[in-house]
Amino acid sequence: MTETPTSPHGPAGPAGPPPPGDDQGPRTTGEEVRDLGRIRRSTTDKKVAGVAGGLARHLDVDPVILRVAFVVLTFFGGAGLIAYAAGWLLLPMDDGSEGVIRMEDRNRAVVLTIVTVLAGLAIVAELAGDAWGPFWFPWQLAAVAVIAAVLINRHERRRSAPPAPPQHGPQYGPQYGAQYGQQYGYGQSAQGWVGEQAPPAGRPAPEQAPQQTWVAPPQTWMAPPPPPPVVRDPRRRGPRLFWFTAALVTLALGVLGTVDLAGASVADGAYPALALGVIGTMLVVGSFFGRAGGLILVGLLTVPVLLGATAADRIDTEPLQEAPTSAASLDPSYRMGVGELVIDLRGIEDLDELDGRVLDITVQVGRIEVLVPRDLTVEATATVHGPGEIRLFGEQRGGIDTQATETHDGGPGSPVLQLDAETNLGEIVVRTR
Amino acid sequence: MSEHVQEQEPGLEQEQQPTIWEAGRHPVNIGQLVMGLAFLGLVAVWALFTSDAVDGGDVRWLLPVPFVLAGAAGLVASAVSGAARRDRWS
Repeated sequence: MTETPTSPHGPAGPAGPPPPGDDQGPRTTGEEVRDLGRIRRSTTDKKVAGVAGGLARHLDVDPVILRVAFVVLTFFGGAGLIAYAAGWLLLPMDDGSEGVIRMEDRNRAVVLTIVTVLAGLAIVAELAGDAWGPFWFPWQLAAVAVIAAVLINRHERRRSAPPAPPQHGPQYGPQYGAQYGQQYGYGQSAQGWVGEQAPPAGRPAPEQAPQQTWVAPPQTWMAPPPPPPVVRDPRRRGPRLFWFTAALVTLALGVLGTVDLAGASVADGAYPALALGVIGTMLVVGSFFGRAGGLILVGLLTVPVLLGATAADRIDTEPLQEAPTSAASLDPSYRMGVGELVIDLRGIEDLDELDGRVLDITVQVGRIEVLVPRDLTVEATATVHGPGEIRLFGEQRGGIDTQATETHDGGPGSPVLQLDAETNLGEIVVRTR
Repeated sequence: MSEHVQEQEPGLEQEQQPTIWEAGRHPVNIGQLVMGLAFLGLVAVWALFTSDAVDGGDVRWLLPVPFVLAGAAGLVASAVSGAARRDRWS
């Protein structure tokens, strides 16, 4: 490593700094100080997390100086807090345990340099009078630092993941122990010092008995348990039917389209209905033979297409006209799914027979139009549950979930008809001409 | 092994090869059976509605029928397959 007789744990080694007052201990060189990757948190000289103690050992200064500096710099844009938090998260301990965020020495040195620059910027900004935010803390910089640290940590963990053993089974344990015993056998992690194979002074070199010196945690080499045997679903046998069904649907639609173009009357809903029929048939087949995976989803997607095409067929048709000529021929209620319903009451000759009757009209989606004679009093109530429009005797109202009531006066002594019109989506029109 | 196969009669080896139907046949998949029957029932309702065999107001009563029939068929198939499995194990 260097000419300094230090252990791999840093300038001072796991034994901690030299005794107080011992000026004859190992000193750090300028080159070692510039190597930020060597910094370790101290386990023996710590007040909070050992950052100041470890940094003081690295810089070969009194840790009290650094502790005071951290506290003072905290009031300068939070620089002290940033630096201490970064050291807490990034620096490993001098006993070999990793820091909160695992990182290679070189990368950690770069990150520590960046953190130092950020802390310096925080000090400069504070001195320049820039407001950083609540509690005079540079939250933006802290957020950037945390995000960058997390990303780097994920990258490092991915890179440092141990390779999988070549085969499963606990019989490879001793071999792994013999192979990695010297590398891990002194409390050193894989991320830290691994190049020097010789043990530190005072510890016997491992001979031919790796079992005694091998102290690596078992999870670093132990093979995972063998996966449970795969039990195949007995219902998943035979050929896949998905693409065969897709081809069959395509062929059927092509044939239907040819028939349609040849002049035959084919409803728009026939296409999705044919596709759904083929899918349903193949699903029934697949419930006994082959694998019909995916067809249920395709069928569920086809159902709304079928409903929409069928509704479009009905909407495109001519409006349903009802024009009774007598009170007896007028039904008490008219119902329709989708479309336009027009009821013309102006042709009824015996209007007096309508006195006291209730006419109920419901169209799920579409348009309702009622034409009433002038000499008939009509108490009309219209309701559109969804978006739509209501026009009652010239009074217009629109919106969502709209209701309106209007009365047309047919004159004194005229018969009274109560009209209730209702739709979920569309338009309701009641007029006299 | 290969000599042993050569000693066998040609017809016997062909009998050991399962046919496509035998290789692909499996215990009934209740979910696929139910959904397949439901889809076919919906197509039937659509055909009745489009051909004006039923009135528009009757569709609301016809729409649940495919699901009721498909569910009933699924229950029957489940009961039959379960009984067959118990008979095989007993």
